[in-house]
Parts: sequence; C-alpha cells; structure tokens
Amino acid sequence: MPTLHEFQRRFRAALTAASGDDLADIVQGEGAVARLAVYRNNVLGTLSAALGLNFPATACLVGADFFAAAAARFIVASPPRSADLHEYDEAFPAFLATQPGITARPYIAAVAALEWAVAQALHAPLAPALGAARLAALAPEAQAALRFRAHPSLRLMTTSGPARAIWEAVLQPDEALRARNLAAIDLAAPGETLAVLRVGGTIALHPLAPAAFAFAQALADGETLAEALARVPPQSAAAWLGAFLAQGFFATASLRRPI
Amino acid sequence: MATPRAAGCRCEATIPASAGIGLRLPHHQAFRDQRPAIAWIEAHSENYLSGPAFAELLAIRNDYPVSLHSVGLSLGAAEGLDRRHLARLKELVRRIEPGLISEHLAWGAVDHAFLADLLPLPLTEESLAIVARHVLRAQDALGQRILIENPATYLQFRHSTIPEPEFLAALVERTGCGLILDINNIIVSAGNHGWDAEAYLGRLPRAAIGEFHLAGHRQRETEIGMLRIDTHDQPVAADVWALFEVALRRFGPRPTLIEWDQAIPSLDILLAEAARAARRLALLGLGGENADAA
Repeated sequence: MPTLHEFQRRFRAALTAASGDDLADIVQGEGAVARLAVYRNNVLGTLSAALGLNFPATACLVGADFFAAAAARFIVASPPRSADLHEYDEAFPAFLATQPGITARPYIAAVAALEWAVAQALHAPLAPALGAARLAALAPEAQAALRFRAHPSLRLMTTSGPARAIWEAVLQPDEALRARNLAAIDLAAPGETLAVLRVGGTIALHPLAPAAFAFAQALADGETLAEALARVPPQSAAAWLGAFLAQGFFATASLRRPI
Repeated sequence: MATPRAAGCRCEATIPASAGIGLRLPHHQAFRDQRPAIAWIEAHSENYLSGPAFAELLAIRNDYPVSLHSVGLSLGAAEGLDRRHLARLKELVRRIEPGLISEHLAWGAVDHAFLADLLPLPLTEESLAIVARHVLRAQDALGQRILIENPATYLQFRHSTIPEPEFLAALVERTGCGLILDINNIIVSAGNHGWDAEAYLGRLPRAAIGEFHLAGHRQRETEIGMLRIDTHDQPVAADVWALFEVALRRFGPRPTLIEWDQAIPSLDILLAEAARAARRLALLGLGGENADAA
C-alpha cells in the first residue's frame, strides 16, 4: 500500500505526463483510464484557461490551437506553485521562446513578457496614487531626503522589439483597424524602456527615455530623491518627476529610511 | 432589493438558513448597481486574493453576508499546507468577516505543484490523520470552525478502508469542523461508484451539517458506460432536487447555495434557481430536528 505522499506523486505523474500509468493496480473497479481522464481534462482545462487569461494577446498571435498545445506542454513542465492562478506564470514567456514553430518569431515571447507585467499590474493591491500637491508643501531640503514607495501596480521593464506596438494592435477590437495597425509595425524596431501600471482599473503603458527610466528605477528602488537626482541630467529631472507623479507611479513618500 | 445601507456600515455576517448564490465576476456590476434580493452570497476565496477583485468583494460585503469557499488549500496534501496561501486566506477572512468558511475533502498539491483540481483521496487512517491535522491548523489560523465539503469523485482506490460518510463523520469528531453537504456531489459520486445516495445521507452526523450545495452536472458516455461529471454549467438536475428534499426532511433547513460557475447565466436565471431552492427550504425544512425521533 503506497503512503499518501507516494500515492500523490504517482497520481500527479499519471495526470500530467504521458507516463502511460493508468493506476490500474490501485484503482478500484473498472475503467481507470476513462475515470482518470476526467481529472486530466479538468487540470488541463483549468490551467490552460488561466494561462489564456494572463496571456490573451499572445494567444491571439499564435492562434488557439498552437496556444493550447504549448500550454499543455508548459503545464506538465511548470505547474503552478500557488493556488492563486493569477500568478500563473512568470516562466511562460521564456518557455514560449523555445517552442518549435515560433522560434523564428521572437516577438511572440516578447509580447508574452509584456503581458506578464500587465497581468501583475492588473492584479496588484489597490492603493491611492501620491499626487504632486503633497510634495509641494515640503521645504526643498526635506524633498531631497524623500524616499518614494512605488505604486503596487508599477512594473518597470525593458521590452524586446516592438512588443508594446504589437500588444496594443492585437487587443484592438476593431478587426480592420487591428489588421492595419499590425501591418504597419516594423518588426525590426528596437525594444523600449517602459513603465506598466494600472490606473483606475485599466492598464497604462508609458515608454520612457533610458535616463528617465533609470531615474524611475532608482526612485522605485527606494533611493532618496537627492540620490536619484545625482544619476540623471538635472535639467530634465524635475519634469520627469512631475510626470511620474501625474501618472501615478508612486503610492507614498516618506522621510524615514526603508525598513 | 436589499435594504440600502449608510456608507461605512456593514450588514451582519451570519449566513441565514435560506438560499444564496455564488458570486461571479460577470455579476459584480449588477451586485453593485442593483443590489439583487438574495439572502447571502458565497465567494471562491482564491478569486478574491488579487487587489481589484478583493476591493469589489469588500464593497459587496457591505450589503450581503458572505461565505468564503476555498478550493486551493489542499487539505489532503501529504506534504502539508501552503503557508503563504493560508496567510493570504487569513488576511482575506480578517477583512471580509465571512459568516462561514469552507473547503473540500480533497487534495491538489504535491511536491509544491498546484494542480488546480479537487483530486480524490484514498480514504485511509493515514489520510484521515493528515486531513484532520490540516483542518485543525486551518481552523486555528483562520480563527473559526470551517465546513468541509464532500467531493464529486470519479475514482476510488483499493487501499481505501473507510467509506466516505464515515470518513467525514470521523473528521468532524476529531476536529470539530462542520460539513457542507453537496447534494449534487452525492448524486455524481453515487452514480459513478454505485452508492446508495439516500443511505449516504443517513450516515452523516446531523449536527455538523452547516450548509447545502446544489449545482448542475452532466452525464457523459465513456467506454465504461455513463459517467456523471460535476460541471456546474447548467440548472440543478431533477434527481438532485429530489435528494435535496430528502436532506431537508432529514436535517432541517440550512444555508443553501446554488453553484453555477461555468457557462455562467444571467443573474436573473441564477436568482430564479435560488428561488426554487428557497421554496423547498420553506416547505420542507421545518421537521428536521424532529425527524430523528421518528
């Protein structure tokens, strides 16, 4: 008689891998294959749907059949680590990059990487955004010592190729407009440094110049305003900070050191 | 219409012994805007851990008692409970103040892989000890008694030694937990394994039953004949209603949930289904306590 742990390991292998194990020696009665298939379909269906919800533009780009087949392989290789399926899964974009049939289209994995940031931003905790008015009340010396806390939905990322343009085009509901926008994309275009965040329930993508991105990154990492300013051209920084605040990049600011 | 409440007020937590429905994303807006007349709602905990969904549940909670029904705690996992998940559920419970908390007699995780289904357990003394330990831990962490639901199953195992109703009764005895009696799951499992559904009811501890679940299922032709599949994608079947009536006569009224979470219908259809359950609760749910003496 297997221990419960042994049983569960074997059951998982029978469910997710093509191990050929039908559990016939431990299943009571007839029909182990047909009965196990109900569970296999449930697991595959639920996890495949979870990937589809987090990577809708990717699914649209590769087509439903390819997505389903790639998802089925991914589920076996990298099942979720969490019962919260919103977190499924960070590793999917890199997995897609290795899939036969689309290795010649690297922009697909690049769009998936952007969608992962979008999904994280969508499901992040709610928090009010810090407005510029709160800072204006502080003396300049106090401002210099401020440390910002990024809005929980803020993701700063570097995309590969024209991932943002493709993502925006693919999710365009008007079919004619979608086709026109996709046709206009230059696949050789360079990647971007990008801020991804949720504003009022929808996703905002802000392309940032590399220096502005470095400034945002330093602030989001908890450097003081003075420390972050030392990294960037001073003539631009005030305007950048104003834009970050207006776009809701930060949730709070404090004069204390981070714990 | 539910009674409008002043901002910041929250209706009481207790789940009444009447009909409720599962809260689903497509109906959030209707709940906010129209406050449909339903006595209580049940939310799948795992759907409300993320920020915006949590905020919506928090707002809806002001107007309705909420039951939190989890599908991801994997109480039957030999490797133990996922601490992070339990901590997140604890925070959800703290903020939502649910009238009931529930999970399933099932497992879903092994070697830290979460398989996203309610998988069947071999019903052995070892499994009973493990599930009981996890129920006690969950009750301790969440600060209240939880209800455990009988699963819909498609497989049984040769090394099982305890029939499912006796397993649930023993779990109640060891942990003080309550039970959700999922009437649809009894019909599904009884059909798939050749059990006597009415006899199953008679082997459960009456006082532990804290809730009924009702749902739709499908029959699928397979190479071994008809299997009943727990799909939650259509109205409650006639044989499920019939067994619900038997359960009401035997146990008396309990909070009763309509679960319909695939091919989700309009809110009106869901409310009409709940009204069918409510009529039976009103007509048949009176004699429960006396039925024992008969």
